[in-house]
Amino acid sequence: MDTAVAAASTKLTEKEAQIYDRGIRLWGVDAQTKLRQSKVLFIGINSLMSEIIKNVVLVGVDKVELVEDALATYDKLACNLFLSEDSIGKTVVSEAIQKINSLNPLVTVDSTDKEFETMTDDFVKGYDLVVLSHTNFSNAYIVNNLCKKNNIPFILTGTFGLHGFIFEDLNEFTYQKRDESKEGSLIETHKLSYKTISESLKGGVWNKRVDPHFLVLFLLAKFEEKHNRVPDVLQNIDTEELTSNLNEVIKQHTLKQSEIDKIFKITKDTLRTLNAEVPTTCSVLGGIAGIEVIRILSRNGTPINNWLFLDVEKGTGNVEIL
Amino acid sequence: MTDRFSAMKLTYGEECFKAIQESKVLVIGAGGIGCEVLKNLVLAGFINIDVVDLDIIDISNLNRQFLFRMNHVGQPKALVAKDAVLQYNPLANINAYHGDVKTQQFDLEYFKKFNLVLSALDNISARRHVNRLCLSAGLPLVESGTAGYLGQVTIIKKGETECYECHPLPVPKQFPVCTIRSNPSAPIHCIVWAKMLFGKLFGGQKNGGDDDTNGITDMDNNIISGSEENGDIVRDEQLLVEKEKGYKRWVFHKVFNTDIQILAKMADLWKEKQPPSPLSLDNILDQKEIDETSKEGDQLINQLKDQKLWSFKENVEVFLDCAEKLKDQSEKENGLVWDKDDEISLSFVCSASNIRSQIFNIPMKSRFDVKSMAGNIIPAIGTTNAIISGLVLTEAIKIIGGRFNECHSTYLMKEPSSRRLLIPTSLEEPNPKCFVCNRNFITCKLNTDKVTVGKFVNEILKKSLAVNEPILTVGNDLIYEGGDQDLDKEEIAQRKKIEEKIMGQYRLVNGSQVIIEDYNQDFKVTMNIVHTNEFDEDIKKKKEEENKDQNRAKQQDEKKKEEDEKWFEIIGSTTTPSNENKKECDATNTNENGMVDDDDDFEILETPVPESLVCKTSSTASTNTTTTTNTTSLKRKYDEEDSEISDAKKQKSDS
Repeated sequence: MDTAVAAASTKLTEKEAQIYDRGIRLWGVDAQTKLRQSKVLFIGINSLMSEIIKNVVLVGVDKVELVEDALATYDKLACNLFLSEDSIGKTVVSEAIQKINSLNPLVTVDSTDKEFETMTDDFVKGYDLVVLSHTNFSNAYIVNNLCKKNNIPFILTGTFGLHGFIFEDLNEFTYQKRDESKEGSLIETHKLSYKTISESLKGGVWNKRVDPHFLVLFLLAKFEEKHNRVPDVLQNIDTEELTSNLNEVIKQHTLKQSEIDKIFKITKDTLRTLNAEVPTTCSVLGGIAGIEVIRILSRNGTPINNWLFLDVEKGTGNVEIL
Repeated sequence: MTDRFSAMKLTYGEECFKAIQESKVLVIGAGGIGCEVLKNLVLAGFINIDVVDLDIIDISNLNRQFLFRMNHVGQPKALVAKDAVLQYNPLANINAYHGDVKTQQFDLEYFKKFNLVLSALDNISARRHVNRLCLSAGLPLVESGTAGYLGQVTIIKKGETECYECHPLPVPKQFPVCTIRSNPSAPIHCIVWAKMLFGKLFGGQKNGGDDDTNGITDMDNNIISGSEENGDIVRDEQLLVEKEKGYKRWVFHKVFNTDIQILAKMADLWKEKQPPSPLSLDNILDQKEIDETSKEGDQLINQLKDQKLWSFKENVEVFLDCAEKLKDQSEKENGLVWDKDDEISLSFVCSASNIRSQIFNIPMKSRFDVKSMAGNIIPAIGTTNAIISGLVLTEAIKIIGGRFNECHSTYLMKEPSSRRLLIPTSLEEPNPKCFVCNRNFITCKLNTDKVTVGKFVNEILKKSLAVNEPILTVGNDLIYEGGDQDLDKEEIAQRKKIEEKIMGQYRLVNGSQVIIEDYNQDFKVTMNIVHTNEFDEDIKKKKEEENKDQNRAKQQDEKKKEEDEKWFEIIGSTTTPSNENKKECDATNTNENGMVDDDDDFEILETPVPESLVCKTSSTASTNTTTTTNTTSLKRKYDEEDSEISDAKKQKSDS
């Protein structure tokens, strides 16, 4: 570790160095110092997001800001780390703030109110990263576009039962990476360019095999664009429409029957558990998203470009550029 | 929807959720992975949970062990973790034990109360113990580990999968003894040396079982070269002078002057480089404090104190100060054990290694870096633990839900390897030759005319074979009983006497067959004892060679060297340290106990990622994880169509 060089600009205190010791040993003082100066905006505090926030707050960022206007109800509890039965009737955000404060008193936590429809540049300005938990694609387009315009890295993430995804748009992203294959381990600078989520979901025929999870998200996005609402999977008619749309997409590709079966199974699973957050998926995806946030804020290591799809039962987490 | 588990019921089904609620789960370890696993279990609806952990909370745990707060520092992990997770389900029935899983409190009967064991341990020896208990109780075990960004989860079940001990376990990184003693070329060599010095000077009786080296008598040896018989003896008379000036000056002079003079005389070592020059303490202390290495400008004012590189003179001052303090402490406590978290012990090793580095023209290291290297710290982070514990829960639910056939091992990579961040591999069949799960015979080769029963029991049975409380039977006679619980004072005294006997004089002769049992582990193995003096031959040969060109100094080292020699070999065990690549010099461990550091501050990935999986991502393989060439094959039970799987297969055949 180039500790002597890295330490030159540090503002870490001795106490922080003690608490964050293991992180510092892994990613270095320089990265820890960047984390120490980072502000992150989290929009939508569901169970998955509570896992991500826990991971990010523990490593010692400067400030997290939360956007969430819901009240804590039983179906919101799920595996949300910030909510217990005592939270029922209180606002999710107040419960979250209290828990985060206790989790790491060195991190500042605050909340802000905002409707998606009236969001302006000011909403995202000043943050080093915006993380949005998935509810619908129209919100994702709004926040992603604002971030793009203001050159702020953006993460969208969500789970559907045993499945989950991470999408990243980091704009033009520069980061450092240690080339460990070479003697003396050189630090090299790399650059990546990202698409927005609407560009990624534009559709068409994909040349290579696409992860079935992406097809599901594509179908959901198209449905939303057409009906201006998310599908209600309890209604047969929506499921039928989604299935027939899926058939349309599949027709344009030459796929083996086994692949088609797999795609249908994942689609069915996903739709059945569209709003179900379980601790297996949330813990795994929250960890993956957490380390992504750390990488992005510290500009240290290669971030996901630009999708990750998780199937927690199969133990797969595949990255694809789409 | 009336509780927080409706999503669980919807996703996994009512039947599976019922099985979850009815199951009894044992979690071993409430550290990095343990905290996350406990949280996940309770959030998934598990109700009957026992958790065992012997550790207390340290400040450096707080960056990831999210159930703990600053005001919990110093309290038992298991108890605090229990209270913390109850918030997610106050109805959960959690028993927390602050204790060591290797004790009789957690015996086979205790294990049999559960349906499933989740191991969130951080050291090999406890994992081996739990492995044996689970095999014996027929309990499925979910084993997990993390190291930095890497992690893995696997399942062990008797008769169905390989067990934890079916394949060789990693051995700690080793360095040739001559590199450490005589010819260091990297900071780590000086750090290992400094830890050894700590043991010699302050270890007292705690420094290794039957190691009777007395540091103090060595300390008086002032022979630089030559020998009495040849009449060419050269002595360092100054050593006695320094001794009279006090302990710290005496130690300093001995290790950085007298011993260096000895090394400098070994012409062969210095053919291609500068011989080391001995240090004079007075000269150093007289120097003005303007130093080249550290004072590089005002920027350093903000620098963290452990990150700062001490000047040479600072190192010397720290060394003297620590030497004196540690000596007092050692006398009071009847010997010290080196601990990276003890301020003075760390400062001593840091300064001693830096002074030695300076002598050999090796770069000095900051206290921060020395701590990592000397303490074998494999940094643990919360994100990796969260990912791994989510996968632990996934496998646990499959087992509880009666879907064992869907279980698999999963590896977490640092960065995606061929687009895969997570890599599932199918579970392996048990190794038919495993001495643990298939009770295969093993053979132990050693010098039965020299090795004592005590050394055999402590070093081979306990350390190398992880038998906790060995009971030895030859023929129909019980000849040795390990555990203390059932013995009275007299019997223990009797056992002490037996331990002092030479093996060959106590039934453990060449050709004898001894049955080794541990009732607690329900472990039993038959060992054939084979007498050999081949290891002694090695020593002789080496000595002859060495005597040709270097004489005096080597003789001084003789005694020390013998301790580090390989002195036994186990055939048929999957856990013998490999001595196959015989080096010119013998090997010494990075830490004295011959095990991976049992530090509880971090989790060690004991079963490494198979090389075939990491071959495409060299960066992930080059963490400081102890790696072995574990060639876990990647044959699958999966559908051929599964891209992940067939790709992995391809990788395997590529490699």
